[in-house]
Amino acid sequence: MRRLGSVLALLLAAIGLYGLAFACVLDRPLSLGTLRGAIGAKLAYAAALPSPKLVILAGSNALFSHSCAVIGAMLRLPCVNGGVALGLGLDYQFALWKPLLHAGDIIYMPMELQQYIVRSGAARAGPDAPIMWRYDRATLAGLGRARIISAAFSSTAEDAVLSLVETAALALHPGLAHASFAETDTAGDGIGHALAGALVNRRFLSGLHRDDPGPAALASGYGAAEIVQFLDWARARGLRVIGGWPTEFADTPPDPRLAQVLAGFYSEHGAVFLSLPNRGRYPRADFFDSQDHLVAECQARHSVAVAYRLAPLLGRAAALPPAAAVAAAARCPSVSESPAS
Amino acid sequence: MLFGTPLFLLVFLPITLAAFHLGGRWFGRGPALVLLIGASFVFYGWGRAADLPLLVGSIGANYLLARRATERRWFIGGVAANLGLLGLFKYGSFIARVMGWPDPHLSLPLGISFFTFQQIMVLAERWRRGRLPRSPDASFLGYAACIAFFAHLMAGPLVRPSEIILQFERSTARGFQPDEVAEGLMIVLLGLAKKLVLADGFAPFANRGFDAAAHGGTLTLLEAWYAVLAFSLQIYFDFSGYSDIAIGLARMFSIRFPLNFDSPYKALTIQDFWRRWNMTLSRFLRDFVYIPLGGNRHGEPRRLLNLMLTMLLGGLWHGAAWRFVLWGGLHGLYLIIHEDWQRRRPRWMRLPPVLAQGLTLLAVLVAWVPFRAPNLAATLGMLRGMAGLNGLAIPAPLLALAPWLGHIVQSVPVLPALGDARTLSLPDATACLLIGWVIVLCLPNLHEASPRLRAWGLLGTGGFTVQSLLFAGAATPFLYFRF
Repeated sequence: MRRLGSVLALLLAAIGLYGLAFACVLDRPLSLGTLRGAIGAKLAYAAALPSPKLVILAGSNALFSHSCAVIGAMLRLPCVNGGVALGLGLDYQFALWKPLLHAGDIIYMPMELQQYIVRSGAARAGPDAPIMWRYDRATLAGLGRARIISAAFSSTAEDAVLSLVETAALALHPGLAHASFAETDTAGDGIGHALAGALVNRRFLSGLHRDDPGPAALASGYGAAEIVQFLDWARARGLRVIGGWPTEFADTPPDPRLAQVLAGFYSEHGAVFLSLPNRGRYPRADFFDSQDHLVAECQARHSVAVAYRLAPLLGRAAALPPAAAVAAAARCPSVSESPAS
Repeated sequence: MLFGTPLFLLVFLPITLAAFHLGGRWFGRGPALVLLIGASFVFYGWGRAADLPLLVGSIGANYLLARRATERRWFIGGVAANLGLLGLFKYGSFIARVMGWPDPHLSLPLGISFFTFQQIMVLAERWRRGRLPRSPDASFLGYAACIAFFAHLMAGPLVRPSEIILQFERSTARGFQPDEVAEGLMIVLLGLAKKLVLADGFAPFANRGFDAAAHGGTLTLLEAWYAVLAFSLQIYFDFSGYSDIAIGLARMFSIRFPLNFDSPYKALTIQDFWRRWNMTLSRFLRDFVYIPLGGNRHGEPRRLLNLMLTMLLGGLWHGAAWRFVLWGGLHGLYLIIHEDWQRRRPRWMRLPPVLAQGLTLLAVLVAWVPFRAPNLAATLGMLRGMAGLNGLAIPAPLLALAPWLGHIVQSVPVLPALGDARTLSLPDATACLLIGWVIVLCLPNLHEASPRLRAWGLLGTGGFTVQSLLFAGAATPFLYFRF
């Protein structure tokens, strides 16, 4: 029995060692560090904005396909682009943003459709889990026991290898730290994805494909339940939430029922849904390196279109788009729709 | 039911282990074996109960056949019936397609290859020896436990009846052996680490590259080689992990299974590789294909032909697809070249071990390409990439760190067929593959390792195993469950 006990004790020690290693030693300063830095910068910027303010919240579709510089200027609202990454847990993001949101604030949520249907296991295993386990245990503690356990066991062997790779890379080339900050401006907009730079990604983009979730699955997904909780919280506090279309390839047309399902989903919880004639679908030539990332020129074009349609929902008159945005939008390869339509 | 699931490890295994040992102690051998056979049927039928009648029927029919298999006609009839059934399920659709007949739409019952081969071994042993091993000769329970024992039911190892039937009798007599359970548990945990942490960890690297090739993508040198190196590790850790789990589970029931892997990538010759890879299946193919074909009894040309036929059939056994035939054919060719080289080379000419091992490994890696690629076009695409015909590319940010490489390397934003297609995918994949190949080539295997090394292995992998087991989502079936 002693030998059996020692094997079990060894297994327990291994589990303890694993948890401790990721809580105190192993880190991914380039990938997770960049995310952490980006989130921190956006939150700090938002905290300094007066209310009512506009917050654009989604994954990297908000970051690279929407522009506060354009939408905020046209609506004459202080604006922060809260988009970071698709895989970031919604409960984590909402927990970070809630203290900064006040009555009268407007949250525009062009959530990627995958966010609605994400499974609980995947939602708890996003990059936020190791970030919280290593650096933000206070937020983690507020998300419940299941989330704590998931965060404790969120890292794989590949993550351990990556942490060694990133730590070594950073030691050899300190300039690599937070390199992606060069791709965001102070309001949190993704910048630098210029059309010229997208040419090298054409082959890669041509191979990308992502099916839309079915309308039924969309409204009943785990992610949808988390969004609903946030919508209810926002309604109770006098915030205005507007759902929106994420960007996608036009060669993957959405299910005709999707618009109705999304509109119903938001309206049932006191929010509204912004309809767009093209439903956020653009030709592949308009994208930089994924369905969520328009090239900067089309990001401006899409943002102008969004601002014009948001204005009546907010009871505001839209100002003319900034001249730089008009000039950029004119260079967007897509000619399928006029920004002013 | 899959080994690498909480249901199996935390519910099924403890209950079955306790029931078997307590049943043996309180009620004797018969009830303990009934419990074990019943549990094995539950294990087998879990999620696919429709296959269970076939297993039960096959065991019953073969038991009756085995009692008469001392007579030639019953032996030959029994082997033919088993192979016919296996062929029907495994190759029915393939043959119908080739012949232009309507597809019978038969789904392959889990583990049918293994329990069929296992029972052919019983018939052959009966035929050769004129009897089954001593006391269980007349015991249906001993026979059924030997075949249905869940530890090897799905994918082996194939064990000679004489190696195992008597062990069941002794096992029930000996009762619960904590040291055996501890030893078995250690092997199971390390086997799980091989499967859940290593094999499943390398799978995405391999899948990304082979999927790209399958969709007509152009793989550059690094993308192609990394995919092949990753798949070679995936299939090795997957199947050797499975075999270790099977051996460990059997040990917990005081049953000793033979070794099924012996560091095959350390082989110095291709012949040596086949003595180390899936050893029990190799032994089966030797005993039941190569030797009946004539083995080396009819001269050199016939011997080489027999070798090639054995390897082609071994390839075809993996599935009704030309790619498996190509894989088997390549290995047959390697073996023939090896035999020819051994015969013709001057005595003094001998490759240095490192070179011999490298050459053998290279041949095995190349043969994995048609095995893994879904079709010939993907195989050719992958081989083109490996040959460097599509050039060598590196993500621009990494190339910026070593600009002197710019003369021979193409700068790209990311390598789309590598890992997550991020800049860091290249160093990440490099480090992961390096660790994997160091484990495979430089460390002793699980069965050679000292207790201290095993303990360190468990300490280093236990947390990741638990993470993969409980938090990584749906379990991935073992690759060999498909065969």
